[in-house]
Amino acid sequence: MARDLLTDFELMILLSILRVGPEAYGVPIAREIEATGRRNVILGAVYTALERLERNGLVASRMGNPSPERGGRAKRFFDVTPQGLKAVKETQRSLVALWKGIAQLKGGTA
Amino acid sequence: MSRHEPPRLAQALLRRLALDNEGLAGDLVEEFRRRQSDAWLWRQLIAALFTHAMYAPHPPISLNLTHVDDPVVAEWLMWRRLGKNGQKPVNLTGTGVEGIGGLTMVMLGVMMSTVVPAIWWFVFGGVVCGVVLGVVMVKTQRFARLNTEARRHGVFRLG
Repeated sequence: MARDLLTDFELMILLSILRVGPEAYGVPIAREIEATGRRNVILGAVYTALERLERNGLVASRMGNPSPERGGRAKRFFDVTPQGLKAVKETQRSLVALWKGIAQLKGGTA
Repeated sequence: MSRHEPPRLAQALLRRLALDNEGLAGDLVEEFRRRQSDAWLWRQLIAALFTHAMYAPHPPISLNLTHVDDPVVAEWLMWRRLGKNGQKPVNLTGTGVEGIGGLTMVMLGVMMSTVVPAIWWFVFGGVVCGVVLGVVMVKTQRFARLNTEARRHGVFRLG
């Protein structure tokens, strides 16, 4: 059974897939996290999280065609499932609820 | 000079990784060609192999020591057959693993008796644990294979 809330990395991955769109695979997902999250990403860790999300039914994957620039290896595309979308919304709702009413966080994000 | 191929050892590791995760291996090659950095590839590759070994779900693997099992099984079946007929085999050849195991036992014996006698309990405990583990592994895995072999040869059935 899937957990109710996502970890920060899982949330970033799901949001990255949604941002990249239907052609989301490891490289653009990692680039999206690096660009918006300002952190270095290990591709192996991305895949480990993606496989965990897939086992929990939050993402679905499909294989593309092999290409020479990838050494003849196929891309594995990922899509967020309706269950995954629900988990993202639930996590957002919980985080926003936690954010509200904290005096130290008022007046900017820095 | 620009190079478009990963180092040879990295290529071998990528081939191994691709057996389990083709998408990840392809992503590493694609990103390496864009970045042209061996250091980046090695960091990513080692991390990928580590995370895969640690966290990816692995199907249970039977204890199928193919190269070792066949001579051991053949030898064992020969003993059983000859024993049934009242004969004894005259020439038995051991496998490399049996030789290494035997040498290890001799080394442990020498260490225990002469070099560091104070650690006898450590060596003894290790040997006992090894024997227990071996018996458990044999009971759970090897007998299934041996039964299959024995049935094929029509000799007998274990357990």
